[in-house]
Amino acid sequence: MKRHAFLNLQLLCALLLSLAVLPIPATAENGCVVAHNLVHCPIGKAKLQAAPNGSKLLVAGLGPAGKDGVATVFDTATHWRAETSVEEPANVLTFRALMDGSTTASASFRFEPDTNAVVLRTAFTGAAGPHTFTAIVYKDGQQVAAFDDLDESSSITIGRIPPPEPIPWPDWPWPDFRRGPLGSCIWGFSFASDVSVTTSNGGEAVGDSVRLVEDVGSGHYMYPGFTAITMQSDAGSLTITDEEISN
Amino acid sequence: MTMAKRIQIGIHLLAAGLLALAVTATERAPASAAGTVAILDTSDKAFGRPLPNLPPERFPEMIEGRLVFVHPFTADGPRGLTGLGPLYVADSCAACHFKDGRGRRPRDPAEPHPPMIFRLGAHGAPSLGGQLQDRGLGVRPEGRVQITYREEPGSYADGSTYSLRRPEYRLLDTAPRDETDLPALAPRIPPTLVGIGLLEAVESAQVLELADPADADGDGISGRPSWVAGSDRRLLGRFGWKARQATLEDQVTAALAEDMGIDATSEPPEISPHHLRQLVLYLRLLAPPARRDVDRLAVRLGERLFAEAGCAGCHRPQLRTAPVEVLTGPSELASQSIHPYTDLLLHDMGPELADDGEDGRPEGREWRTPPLWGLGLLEQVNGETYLLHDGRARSFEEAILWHGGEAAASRRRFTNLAVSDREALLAFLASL
Repeated sequence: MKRHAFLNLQLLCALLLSLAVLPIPATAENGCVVAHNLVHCPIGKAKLQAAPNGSKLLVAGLGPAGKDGVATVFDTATHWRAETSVEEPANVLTFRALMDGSTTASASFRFEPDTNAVVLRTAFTGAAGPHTFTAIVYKDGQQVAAFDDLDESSSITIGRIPPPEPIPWPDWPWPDFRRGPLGSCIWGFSFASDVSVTTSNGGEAVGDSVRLVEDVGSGHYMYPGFTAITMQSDAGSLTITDEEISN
Repeated sequence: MTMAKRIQIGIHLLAAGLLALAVTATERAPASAAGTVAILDTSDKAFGRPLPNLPPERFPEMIEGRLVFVHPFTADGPRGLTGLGPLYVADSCAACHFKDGRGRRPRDPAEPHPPMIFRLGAHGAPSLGGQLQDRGLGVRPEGRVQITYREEPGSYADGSTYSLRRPEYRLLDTAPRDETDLPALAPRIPPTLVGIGLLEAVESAQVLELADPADADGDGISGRPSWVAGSDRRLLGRFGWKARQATLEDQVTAALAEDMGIDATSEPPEISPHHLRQLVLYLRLLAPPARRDVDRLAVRLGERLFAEAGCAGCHRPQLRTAPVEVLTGPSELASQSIHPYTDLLLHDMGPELADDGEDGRPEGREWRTPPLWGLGLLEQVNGETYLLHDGRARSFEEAILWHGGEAAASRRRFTNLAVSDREALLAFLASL
């Protein structure tokens, strides 16, 4: 990548992050690096280290508050996916997609010790009023269940099969985010093995991936895509082993 | 031009615009304004939503147009969005129309250009053309503008004081030329785009009914249509601060040419007809925001005072779009009662707001009544509320106080109001 292009992307990164009011000093000197041919900038106290060939990105310094992380910044994309690994068990993992400095959608996993499971919550911003979404559960690529009428107060409990020990979880899902054909936002999370999925409105299913699809209705905001994805966690460190965007 | 200099000018440039004119009028906007095709949204996305009667299966068409709107053009690049420059002001529509709203001041020093364009004199400048281009691809930009402000104090009838800031412009970094060649500068803030398709769908006859170019009724208000040449007949100009474009396609074509250096009329055109159609369709289908707080007592009082002060004589609360049988645009625009608070006519706003360099046709003192819908959401979308065609007004109050010419009587009525009534009128504006 040419240096001037890299600097432009860094400046874009700085702009996006400052608009998003993320807790980092967004400057070109703040530790942004390139991995997987994408620009990454640290959030909070995180430190980034890319493999020499850019094939891997270590995100270290993820403190216990869960506010530290990494932002991947790019030109407008309609699909992003990543593969990650964490060395130590973590309690929280939060994703956010941004466009024009505003959050288009977020998804947060939080470990709940009482239930020995993680609770997934999501927020979409395309609707003019309260949003709704549908959770679709897949196993081996086949849809096994769809739970609709979920809203911003809904939660989805993800349990491991069989229940694990020790806690919390060491193996977090691989994330995926895309814009749907009607302008909806769609989160996807793939798990290393089967999980139980229980929605707060009573839905239950077992599968190996979950997709959260924003419902589209009258006056839905026209996101053409997104320009950044953030990941924040308390995992101590995480490694992005693969990552790509498309549009 | 160095980045530091660009930053310096960027910091001085301001966004937004409001021209509240005046006549005596009694019509009132329904409490539900801005109409049945308005969308209630108080987020920073309030200006970017489709008409609520647009079925979701048509969203992909609008998304394609939005991609053209937000994606930067290049001289030669992906998506076919090319043709930028070599001289230009912005590389995308969204760069000036922030979130489909008005231009706003740069939030980051790295942002390369200000949210304002500068027309050059009444007939352009011999060596610079009709508009200053402050960016160049492989060529030297034409210059940049330094803006300074001078505070001017004033007072209300009740003795309370205010201060207005008067802008002064200075052209810098231009190539050496004869001093007599330096044109007068006519600043323009990129306007909010909400409901722009609905305004295009208002029949000309309805606008002409509101016109009174010779002030035949003696109310001090003229209201002159801006006629522009069409292919076979004259057309009502309705877009732009001076209403110099009759159709949205003409407006977009002009903006592409003047702001981005993209000629849509050349052979072959520098933007594909397909992309141009997508872009125009996207703009046509943008919904106006619905009003908020319409039942608050202060807002209702302010609405009445707005009419009593004569503001509604030009900022007409209600228009109606053409029936589908005569409409040339999307059917979603047809037969809608809308509340844009404009009459789409030109009015003399007095010397205070006149363009020094725009003394041709329409007169430098004349401005098209800008729509007020969405006014109260500027802060939410843009993060600031800088008003009038050049962003000099820092509040609704200051914008009103700059009104002159045909609107001087309304301004006087406003300054004679008690402070509580002034606040009520401002609360009404914030509800739009």
